[in-house]
Parts: sequence; structure tokens; C-alpha cells
Amino acid sequence: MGDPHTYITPDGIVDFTTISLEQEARDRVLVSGVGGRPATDSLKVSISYRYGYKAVGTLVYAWPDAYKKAKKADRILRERLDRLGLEFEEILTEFVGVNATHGRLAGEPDPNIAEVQMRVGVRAQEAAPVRRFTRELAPLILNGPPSVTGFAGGRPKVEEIVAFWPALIPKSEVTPQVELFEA
Amino acid sequence: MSAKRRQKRVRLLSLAHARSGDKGNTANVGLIARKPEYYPVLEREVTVPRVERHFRGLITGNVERFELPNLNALNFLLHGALGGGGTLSLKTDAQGKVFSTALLRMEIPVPGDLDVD
Repeated sequence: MGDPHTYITPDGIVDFTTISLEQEARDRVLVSGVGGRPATDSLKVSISYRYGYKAVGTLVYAWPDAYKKAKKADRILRERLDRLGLEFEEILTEFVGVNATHGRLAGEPDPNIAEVQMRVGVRAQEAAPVRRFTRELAPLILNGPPSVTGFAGGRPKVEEIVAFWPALIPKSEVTPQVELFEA
Repeated sequence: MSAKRRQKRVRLLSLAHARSGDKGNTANVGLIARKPEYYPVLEREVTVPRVERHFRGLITGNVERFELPNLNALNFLLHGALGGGGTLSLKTDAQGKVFSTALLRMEIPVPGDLDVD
């Protein structure tokens, strides 16, 4: 939902500010007075295109000092990636249990937090640096902060990104054809 | 007593429900008053500058607000909220599903005599 006055559907434009709700009975709501405008002259086209590669790796650090260990592991990992001269469009670290969903709004965690998952994602146009990244988590388990687990699944997998490009096409350019197939 | 002293601060969680989702790299947060009498307070206090301040550092774009007084609801668009959005995003919450509860953390001033559970 963007502008609630102008919710565009294939059949018409709905104005959500005209909706009237009424409690008719228990578990029964009457929706009425829904207004709007005729459909636009366009259809939406959902285009997909290739956009590079990404991978996301995770490790879980346990009490005591779970968050401190996870943060240290992230610093070591980033320094490794840096020394390897790998270039990424983006490297994103989240600490699940601390800040993955609400960021700084969640505040500092309890120092006795039971566990923290370090979740690191990278994205690049080329597959090679992303593949190299997926090999950098195992060394952290052996040589990084202790009481770490959650790696039984092996290396993270390199994913090719299929990105989404929503576009519009004039309805006049499209001729609908309906075919029925009987089973 | 001044009008200011008669106010109290309340978390949005006590006043409203929220739901959110994605449209590209934009998160869309609907804020719905728990009681009709809370709606005017939400409309007055949950302003665009306040929401922008709340999400500073978490979103890269601006905030838009739309009012739906018929549903006792506000609709917010948080632009640049999803790290590129869709399949490009590296975020856990690439679909912006929990920006709703992040907004419910906000505190706003309300009249001291407003009945809040």
C-alpha cells in the first residue's frame, strides 16, 4: 500500500479512505461504501533480470560473552576479506538476537544473553569473491572466538540473484488470449 | 497546571496495532489505533519528522505519511528501508515485515487523562 487514495489494481483504483467498517455481530464485520476510479490505461509487467551473486553465512556464539564473541568474529572475518582484496557491493553483518530486526532501536543486549547468531551477507557482480567468502567461515570456527556452533550445514551456498523490475505497458499493446485445456 | 505538565509519555504499543510489508526498497507500515479515541492523538503526535528521527540510521530515504481517519489508521512509507529490497537485499527482514513493531517502540506524549491500558 502506498497512497491509500490510489490503490491501483488491474480492475480499478480503490480509494481506501472511503471504506466504512461496522461491527454487525460477533465475528462479523460489514465493509461498505468502497469508492474508487476506473482502471488506468496500463498493465503491470513483472520483469526479472540477472543481478550478480550473493551468499549469507551464519555462526552461533553461546554464553558467556556471546555478543562480544560474535562481534569479534565479525571483525576478524572482515579483516580477512579485506586482506584477500575481495571487492563486494555490500557486506552486511547482523547479530540475530540483538539487532537483526530492530537495529539500534533494540538497545544493548543483556550481557548474559544465552546466544547470538552472527549473520554475514555479501553481494557482488562476480561470483568469484562471493565463493571465496563462503570459505572464510570454517577458519573462524577453528581459530576464532570459542563456544561457536551452528555450522553443520557446511559452507553457505552462492546464489545467483534474479532481481525484480516492475514496469508498465500500455493496455493497447496487449491482446489477451484465453485457451482452455481439458484434463 | 500547564498543559505540558498534564501530559504523559506512552509507547505506541499501548495505543496501536501495526502491520508492515515491502514494495521494492520501501517498507510500508500501517498504524491502527486500538481505540477510536486514540486516533486523533496518533494523527497529532506520530508526525513525519518524528518517524524520520525514530528510524534515523535504519533507513536511507525519507518518510511519507497518509491519513485514513475512516479506519483510525495512518499509513507510512519508509523509503530506502530494505537494503535494496527483494532478492537483492542481504537483510534478515528483506520484506520489511517487522518494521511495524519497530515503530511500536516509539514513545509519544499523550494527554494525562487519556485512558491507556
